[in-house]
Amino acid sequence: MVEIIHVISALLPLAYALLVYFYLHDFYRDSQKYTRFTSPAMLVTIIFHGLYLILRSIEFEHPPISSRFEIFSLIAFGLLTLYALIEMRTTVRDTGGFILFFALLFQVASSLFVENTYEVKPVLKNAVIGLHIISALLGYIAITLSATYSILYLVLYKKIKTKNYGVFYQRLPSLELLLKLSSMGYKLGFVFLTVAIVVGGLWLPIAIPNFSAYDPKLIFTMVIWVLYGIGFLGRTFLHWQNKTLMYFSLAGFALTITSLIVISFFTSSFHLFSGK
Amino acid sequence: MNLVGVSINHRSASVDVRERFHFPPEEISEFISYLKQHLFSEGFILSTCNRTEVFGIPYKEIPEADEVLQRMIEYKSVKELRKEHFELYYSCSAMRHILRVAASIDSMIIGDSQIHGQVREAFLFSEKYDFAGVLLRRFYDTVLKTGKRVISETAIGDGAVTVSYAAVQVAGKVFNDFTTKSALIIGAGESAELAAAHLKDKRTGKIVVTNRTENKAIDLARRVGGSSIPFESFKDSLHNFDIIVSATSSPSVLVSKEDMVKAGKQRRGAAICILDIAVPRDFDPGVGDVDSLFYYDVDSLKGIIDDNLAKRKKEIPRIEEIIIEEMISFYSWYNTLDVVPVIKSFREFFENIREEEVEKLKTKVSEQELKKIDDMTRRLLGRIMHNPTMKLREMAESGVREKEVMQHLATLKYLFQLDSDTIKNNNENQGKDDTL
Repeated sequence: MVEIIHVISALLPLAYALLVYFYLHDFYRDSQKYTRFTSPAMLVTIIFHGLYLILRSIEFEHPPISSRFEIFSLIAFGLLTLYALIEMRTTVRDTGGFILFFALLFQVASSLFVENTYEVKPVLKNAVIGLHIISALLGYIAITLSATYSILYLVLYKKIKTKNYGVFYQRLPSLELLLKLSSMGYKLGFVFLTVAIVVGGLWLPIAIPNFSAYDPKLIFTMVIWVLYGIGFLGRTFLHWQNKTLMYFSLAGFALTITSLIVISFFTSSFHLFSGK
Repeated sequence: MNLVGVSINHRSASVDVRERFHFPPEEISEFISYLKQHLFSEGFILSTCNRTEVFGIPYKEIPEADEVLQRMIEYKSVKELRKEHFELYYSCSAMRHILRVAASIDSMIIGDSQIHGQVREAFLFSEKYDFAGVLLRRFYDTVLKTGKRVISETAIGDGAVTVSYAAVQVAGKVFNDFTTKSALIIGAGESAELAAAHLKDKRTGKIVVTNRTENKAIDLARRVGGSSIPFESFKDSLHNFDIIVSATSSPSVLVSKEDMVKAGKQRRGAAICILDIAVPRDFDPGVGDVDSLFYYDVDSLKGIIDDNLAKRKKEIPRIEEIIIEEMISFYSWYNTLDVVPVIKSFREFFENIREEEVEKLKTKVSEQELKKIDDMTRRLLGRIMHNPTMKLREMAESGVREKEVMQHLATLKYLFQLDSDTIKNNNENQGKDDTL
C-alpha cells in the first residue's frame, strides 16, 4: 500500500497544477475552453486526495496530522473542497486559479517532504491536541482563502478606480462578493485561531513537560491573532474601510506563511517543544 | 432565386434623407398594394429609423432593380432622393444582405437586438397583406433560424453598447445583488429614463427619482415602480443610496466633492457607485478620489462601450459563416423546387397502378392476404423508386448540373406521360409540404 500512497502523492501536485492551468488559461485568455473540464477534474482530484488521506491513515495508523507536511496536504485538500463549495454556492468560477494556486503550493511542499511516519508521539494521540490541530488547520485554510480574495478585491478595486477594463475587470466577480468571501474567511480564520490558541494555551503546559512560552511558533501565532483581532475590532466598531480590512488580511497571511517557512528551517515540528 | 431589393440605410444616406423614405406601419399596407400591382409577386418592407429595405420577387423573368428603385422614388414623390442614396441587391447578394441585417451585423450598432423583432414584424406584415408566398415563407424561416443561431452561437449581443446600459453594467462590478440596493436617479430625461429602466430590469430594491420639474420625476418614478423626492433637498439624502445615476442638463456641477465626502462618512465606508452620464457633468469628478466612491462619467463609460463593440466585431467572421451555411441550406431547398413536384407525380403514377392492381385482387383473396399483398407492393415500389428519386433530388440540391437535371425531368415526364396539371398542383402545395 505504501507504493500506492507514494504514487498518489506524486500525482496530486500534477492534478492541482492541471486545475490551476485550466482556470488561469480561461481567465487570462477570456475564454471558456476548459470550463467544462474544471468541475469533473476538481471532483476527481477531491476523490483522489480524499483516498490518499484515508490510505495514509490506514497504513500509518494515525490521522494525517502528525507532521506539518501531512497538515500541508490537509490544508490543500481543505482549500480545494472549500473552493468547490464556493463555486457551487455562488457560481463564481473565475477565482479558482488563484485559490487553487495556494493549494498547489501546499501540496507540492507536502509531496516533496512528507515522510512515512509509523511512530507518532503519544501527545499527538490525545483528543484535545486533535482539537487544537484541527482548529489551527481550519484557521489556516480560512485565512488563505481570505487573503486570496483580499488580493483579488484590491486588484479589482484598483482596476475600477483607474478605469482599466482589462481581463481582471472583465473576469472577476463584483467587489461586494469578493469582500463577502474575504470577510467570511477572515472571521472564520480568527475564530478558529482563537480556539486553537485557547485550547493549546490551556492544555499544552499540562501535557508537555518542556513547554515554553517563548516558542517561536507560539509567538508568531499570537502576533497573527492580535493582528487579525485589531482588524476585526476596527472594522466592527470603528467602521474602517473595506480596503483596510483587506490589508490586515494580507498582512496576517504574510506573517503566517513567514512563520511556517522560518520554523521549517529551524525545527522538525510545528513547535520547538515536543511531547514524549 | 429572383430576389431583388433596394436598401436605403445608415451607410448610404444621412438621417434626413432616410427619414423621407421611412414607411410608417399605416403606409406599408398601401405601398404593398402598389408593389403587388407593379412589381412583385411576393416581398416585404422593413422600415426602421436607420434603414428601409424593400425586397421582393419580381414578375419579370430578368429583374431590373433600377426599375424597382424608380417606382419607389416615384411612389414617395421625394425629389431629393437620388440613386446614390440606395444600395441595389440581386439574387444571392440580396439574400445575404437581408441575412446580415437580421443577424444585426449591418446595424449602426453591431449586435443591436431590436432588429430581430423589426424583421419579424416586416414578414408578419407581408403575411397579413397576402404578400408572402412559398418562397418568402421559406426565406423567412431561414432568416429566423439565422437570427436564432447568431444569438445562441456567438457573443454578438454581449456587453453594453449604450451609455445608460453601460452605466448600470459597471455598477454590477461594484455590487453583486441589486435587490438589496437603493438607487437615486437625478433627472427625468431620456438617458435617465433608460438607466432607470435598466435598473428596474436588474430588480433594484428601491428606485428614487428627483428632477427640477417635479411632475416629470413623479411620472418616471411611477413608470419604474419607484418613488420621488424633491430636487431642492436631494443632497441631504445622498447617503441613503448605493447607486446614483445623474443625467440632468444642468450647465454647472450639481454635487460637489464635499457633499459626497459627507455622504460617504454618513455611510461609514459603504460603497456608492456614481454614474454621471450628464454632459456637462453633474458631479465634481474629484469624488472619484474618495476611497468608497466609485465614479464614472460618460468618457469613462465610452471605454467600456468601445471594448464591447470591438468584441462584437470579432464575432462577424463567425456570423458570416452561419449566413453562408443557411444560404446553402436555403438554396438546396430552392434547387429542388422544380424537381419535387415531378417526383411526386412520378410516385403518384406508380402508386395509382399499384392501387388499381391491388383493387383487382380484392375479391380473389382473403382480407388478410390482401393486406399482405398491399404491404408487399408498397415496400416493393418504395425500394424500386428510392434510388432514382433520391439521385434526382441530390443532383438538384447540389445546384451544379442544372441542365442535366432538367433533361432527366423532361425524360420522366415524357416516358411516363406525367400530367402537367398534377405537377402544377404539387408545385403549389410544395410550400406547405416539401418532404418526399
